[in-house]
Amino acid sequence: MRPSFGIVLKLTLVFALFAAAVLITLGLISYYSGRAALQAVTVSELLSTAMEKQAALGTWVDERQEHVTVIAGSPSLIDDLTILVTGKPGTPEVQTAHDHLIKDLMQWVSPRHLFLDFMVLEPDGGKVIASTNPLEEGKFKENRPYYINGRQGSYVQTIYYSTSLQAPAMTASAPIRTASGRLIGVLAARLDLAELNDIISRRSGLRQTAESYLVNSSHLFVTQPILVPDPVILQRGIYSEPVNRCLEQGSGVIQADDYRGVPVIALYRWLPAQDVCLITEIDQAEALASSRAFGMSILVFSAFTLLAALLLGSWLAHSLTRPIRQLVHAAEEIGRGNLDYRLEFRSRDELGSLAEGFNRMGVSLTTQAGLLRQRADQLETSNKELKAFSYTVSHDLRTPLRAIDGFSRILLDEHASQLAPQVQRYLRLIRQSTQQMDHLIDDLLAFSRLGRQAITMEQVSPLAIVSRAMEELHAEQDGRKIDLVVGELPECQADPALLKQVYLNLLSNALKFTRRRKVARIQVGAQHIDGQCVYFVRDNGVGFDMKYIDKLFGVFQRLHRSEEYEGTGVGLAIVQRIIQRHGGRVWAEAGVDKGAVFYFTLEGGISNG
Amino acid sequence: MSLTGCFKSAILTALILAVSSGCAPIATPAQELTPITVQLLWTHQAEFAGLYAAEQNGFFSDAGLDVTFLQGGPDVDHWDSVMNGSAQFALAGADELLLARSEGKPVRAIATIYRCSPIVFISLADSGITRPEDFAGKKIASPANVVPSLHAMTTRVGVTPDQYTVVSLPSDLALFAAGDVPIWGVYITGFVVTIQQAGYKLNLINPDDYGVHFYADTVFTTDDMIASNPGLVRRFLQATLKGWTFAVENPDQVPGLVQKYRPEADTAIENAKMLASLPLVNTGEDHIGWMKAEMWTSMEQTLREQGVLTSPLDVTQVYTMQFLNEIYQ
Repeated sequence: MRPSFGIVLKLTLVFALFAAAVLITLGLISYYSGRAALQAVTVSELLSTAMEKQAALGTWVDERQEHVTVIAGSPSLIDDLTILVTGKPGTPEVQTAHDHLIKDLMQWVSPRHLFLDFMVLEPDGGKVIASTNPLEEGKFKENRPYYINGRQGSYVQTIYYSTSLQAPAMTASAPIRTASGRLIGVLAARLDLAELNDIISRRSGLRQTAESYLVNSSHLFVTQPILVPDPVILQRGIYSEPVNRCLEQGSGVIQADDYRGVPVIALYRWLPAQDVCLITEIDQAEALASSRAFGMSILVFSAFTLLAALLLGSWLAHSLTRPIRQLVHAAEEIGRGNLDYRLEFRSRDELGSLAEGFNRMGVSLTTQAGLLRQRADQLETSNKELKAFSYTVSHDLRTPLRAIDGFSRILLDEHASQLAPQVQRYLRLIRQSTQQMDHLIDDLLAFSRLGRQAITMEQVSPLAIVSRAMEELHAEQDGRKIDLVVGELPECQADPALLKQVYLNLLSNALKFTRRRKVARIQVGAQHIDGQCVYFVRDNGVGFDMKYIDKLFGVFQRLHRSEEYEGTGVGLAIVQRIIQRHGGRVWAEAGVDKGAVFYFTLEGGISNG
Repeated sequence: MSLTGCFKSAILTALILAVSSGCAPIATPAQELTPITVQLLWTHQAEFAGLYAAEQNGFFSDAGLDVTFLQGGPDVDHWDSVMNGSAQFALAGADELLLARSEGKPVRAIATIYRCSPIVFISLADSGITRPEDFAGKKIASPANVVPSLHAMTTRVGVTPDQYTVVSLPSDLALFAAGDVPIWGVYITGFVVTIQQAGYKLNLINPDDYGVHFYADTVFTTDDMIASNPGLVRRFLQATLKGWTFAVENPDQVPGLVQKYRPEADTAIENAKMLASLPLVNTGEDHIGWMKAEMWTSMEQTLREQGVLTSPLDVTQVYTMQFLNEIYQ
């Protein structure tokens, strides 16, 4: 019988599941911790980039401020300005001073383009009295922070949106004072943010998608983000999560979508000195690419390991179950009767010892079988001898009996006139005894025949058999009150002749031992006990003492004196023999003077072929 | 309840649902929509994006208001409707409001949208007009709300209003290009965009460069309205500011919004207008709509210095922070 959910499958599955569980757990742990480590590395990279840029920005702004301050302190500038403010407007010397002033300032405007333009503002009212950009002259900048603060000291107006430029602007200013310290003007220079743009957007390293940019408090780009080269983006507001957070809460790191809608790791830093937000970000895909590759390789490795685990588990299971299968086969062989089957399996583990034990069992079985056969042979022989003996003896015994009986009869029949009545009586007694002996011999013969007779099983109806048996026993029933109750007798497999013999003997006993009763109550029926069909014959006769139950079915065993009840004592032995040959069991229950019940089954005992 | 009773009420419910689903949505009894009219400063364009956004996204109806817009334009006096009560809210320049108040009109500003003024004076690049000094003896096309800035600016450089002529013209490209009127007082977020998109090069003269710093489009209503219906005023303003926040954060949706009111509006032009407006509305300081006391004071001062205001005005009468404080607290 091939098991449907065998050990091979179980083991393989267990192996596979275990391997899978371990791989999944370890895989996930290592993937996520690898990813986290990668993220941490990325964030620290971003942080160092951001800090570097912040420092560079700060330095750049400081340098510009310093520069403007230096220019504001240059003697030629102060001289020119002094003439400009003290002289009469329109005079040639004022004009010369004006032009000279501007020429001076122009050197800082080109070609290094550090400053877009310069303006010199009146200390009261903020009117632009000189500018490298002629359009600016005559304008009033009195409300500009760079003017208001520049009157007092060096100042940089942090990045604001210039409506005239329609672009972000940054202006550095410084007071222009005479040697005596009198304020004669404010120098304001608009910084060229191109260099700032370079500083911020300059990429370090090989990262493709890393970039930094500045956003002001109106959500406008101050520097051009590299990844979107179209300057149009500078006009639109940026409301991505990192920018929103930066403008609300200051500094931090977040994984979110950026202005392109692409998921990034963004480090945002609020720079209070310049009133802007510095965003340093990198695409999540790029940052975590190697973790993805790592994840992939874990997956591949896991797949292979799982496969290997399956194979290993399967191989192991097979190698474990092979001996078991061999054992199963061996047990089947032995069960079939092939007691010489031995296992070849030799290993040093428990299965090996099991095989050894099995083999030893086999040896023992063989020996025992041999012994049994010997015994059986012996028994066979002795049985045969017995049978032969009983046959010949009974046969041989019969012959002289015939003679005794015959001659006695002759004497009685033909020589009665010559014999005294007493002699006749003696002869009659002799005849009775010989007849009795004849019966005994008959029964012996029948009993011995039983051993040799072939048994033919067929479907029989015990009911029919019982009625035939009762007919044959009519002599016993004449002149008596017999209350016979025959219940349901289910059909069974039996030898009809032998079964009849059984019922004959049982019913004859029942009739015999109820002789003393006014009404002989005999019950024939069947019961189901433990799923077996148990037939019974019950009588209300004299019964017997249960302590003699062992003798009940013995040959020539009689529990009653022959004066009370005749019989050879073979009847029940015959019944037992027949029942045993059917493979059934017979037993009885009784009480002294309480009647008896005889039960028998036709199967479920040990078949005795 | 018996089975038939259940059955009946089920039928009834089903009927009611069927009928009501076929009908227009009925306002919940708790909040009926109050009809409100808003007078706009000029013709429908991106300049009023926030109001359109509030209307189209249902911010007004969520606040229980059913808002109608009245267009402004060259032939429309945008003060009329508020003064005669047909509009409950309107827009005007802060300078206009100061003037109006000084004339006794019971008006009060509740928030200012354009905290940086978009007003700019333009001339064709080759006209040689680059400064306010050059305005003397010229014709200047300027809508009424721009005039106070014009006066203030020119006075600063010594040119008095009687030295030039102000005319009112529609924002017509051909008219401008014709050159009959060399100087136009316009919005950098409005007509300037149209002209520049058409390819013209312009000189821009910014009042901001001449000591004239005014709040531009300011939302105002009457004292009466504030006194009798403060809840409604606050709800209106809150929805308006919400609409402006939406417009500032989603400028590409603005052309679509404008086209709901003026279908022939050009998408590219409205887009450019909105982008130009962003830094004027969302200055990065405070909140959208915020007003500062010192600005009102300096505006009043400027107008007095320029002679636009003839006598001192108590600015606290001209505006109120009441609603802004409530909304942004």
